[in-house]
Amino acid sequence: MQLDFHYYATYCAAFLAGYPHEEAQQIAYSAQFTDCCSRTFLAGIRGPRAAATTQLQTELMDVRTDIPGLQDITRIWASFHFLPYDLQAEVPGRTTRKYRSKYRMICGPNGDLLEETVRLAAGKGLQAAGLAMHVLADTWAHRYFAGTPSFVINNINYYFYELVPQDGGGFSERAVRFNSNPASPDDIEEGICTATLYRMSESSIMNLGHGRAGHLPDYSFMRYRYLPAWGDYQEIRKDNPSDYYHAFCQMIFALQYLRGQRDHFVKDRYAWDAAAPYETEIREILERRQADASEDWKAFGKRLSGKEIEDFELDKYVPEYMGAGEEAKDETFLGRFILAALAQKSMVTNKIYKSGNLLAGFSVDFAEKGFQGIRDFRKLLKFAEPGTKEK
Amino acid sequence: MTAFQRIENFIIGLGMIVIAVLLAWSPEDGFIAIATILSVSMTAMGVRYLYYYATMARHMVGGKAVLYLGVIVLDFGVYSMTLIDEPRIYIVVDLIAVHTFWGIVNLLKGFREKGYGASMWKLDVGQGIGNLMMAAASLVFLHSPHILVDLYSAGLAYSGILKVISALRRTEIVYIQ
Repeated sequence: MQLDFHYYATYCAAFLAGYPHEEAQQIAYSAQFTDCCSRTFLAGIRGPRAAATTQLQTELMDVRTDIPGLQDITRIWASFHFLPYDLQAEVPGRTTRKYRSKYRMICGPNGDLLEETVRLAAGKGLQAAGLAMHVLADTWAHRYFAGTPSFVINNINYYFYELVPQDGGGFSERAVRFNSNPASPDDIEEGICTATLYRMSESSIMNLGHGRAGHLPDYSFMRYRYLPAWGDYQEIRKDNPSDYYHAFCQMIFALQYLRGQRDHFVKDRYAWDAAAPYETEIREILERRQADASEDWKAFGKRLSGKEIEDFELDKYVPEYMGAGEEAKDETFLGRFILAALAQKSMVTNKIYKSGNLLAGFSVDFAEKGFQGIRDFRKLLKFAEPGTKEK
Repeated sequence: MTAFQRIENFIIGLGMIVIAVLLAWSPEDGFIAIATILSVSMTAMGVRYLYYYATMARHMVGGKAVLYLGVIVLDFGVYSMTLIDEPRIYIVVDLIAVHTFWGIVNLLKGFREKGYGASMWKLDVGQGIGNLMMAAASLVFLHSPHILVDLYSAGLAYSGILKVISALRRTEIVYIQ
């Protein structure tokens, strides 16, 4: 997903969940910021680098794919963009443990970790809510791919067809052509898409997430069928308009829970009723063939709240953070986002580790062994203290 | 990283540093030694591909390509061992390709970091320039085996040091409920 959904659509979902305009904007900002909070950005604001929620292309090009490097990549991408669906998934046939570990990292909506993610954000403020909405939405867009470099899971081949809706109903098909020139934008009309290079290497960064399928999972209007590398030659049909509508209604449901309007967050539940009056309009936006639907979502958001949604500005909260003293940084907007990011990364890493899977590295349970490991996570001690949860 | 992986990384890193020093110490033998290392590496890569196919890639769509590649690389690695007495071409190609690639990557990363105001951009730009200078030096000293061996040894030692540092790094994530 991109700015259009993570920022503007999240704003609309938050508003429909009952948040006022200002709070909805902060949730939307946090959701989109999850795609921007890189180590490079954190270094620029002198923030803890372990709180990175994404990696820039330039960082990925330079990343070491040794064991710590791969674990670091997996922690970031699995925690925030490709939440694993089932960490105990059964793999068909006789397979090695290594293969099973990779297979179990495949992302999908409505997994147990999604419930954990949303519940973790409860009572932790708007920043944590926005971050959780990013994770939730990506489980729909990024399903069938894994947030760890893996040739045997994330590769795709020439068997990849777009399903283009026809005026009279039904779909026509055309083969998607992938090129690997990062400077050339996708040509939606011609069905040409930029994707990562084919690298026959298990740990190549080219095989991270949906890189091999380019931005197709990120376009709300896109429908396609293909053979995933892990699927034993079983075709998958991906229907983004339907998945994105599910994501939108599930975000409303989750935000209603985070706002205290629902007692529980349960997976596979959606706030259909809240979206129903606008369903036609939302579906039209999702179906429109365009690389960026920001203007449509922005206009829809304005009709909902009657207020203009600010353009996303990456540095909006930087002066507040930079200007705060060391003790006060955690109380700033970015400080709270950083705490939420550390908590999410810590939780997901722990669940992966406890499932017997070492792809995200080791997790040390503080309750059992005290504090060990990466020092940046010491901030979480304060985050977990009674009385600070509601900030 | 498990304790075993840490020890493994540490020993491999240390071994790379020792080999680099030995190569630089004795360039005449070093030249042949490097060519041997590259040939053996290619053979090992072929074996690794075959192992990768058996344990992972046989489950994937189109995984047979890994099997074919493994056979071809293994064959090429064994063949290249017969050419070890003509080692210069190995070393020059390796030096130029590797250093040019990483030089460009470092520069791109450095300029991106500069845009974000991150202080480490100078380090990356410096590394990028250093890598490109290494590639250029490999071309300039094409006919000077001693310097080529020194350049190769420097790269090997650098990789070894990074491996040792990586083995000693804190990597655990704390989980606080």
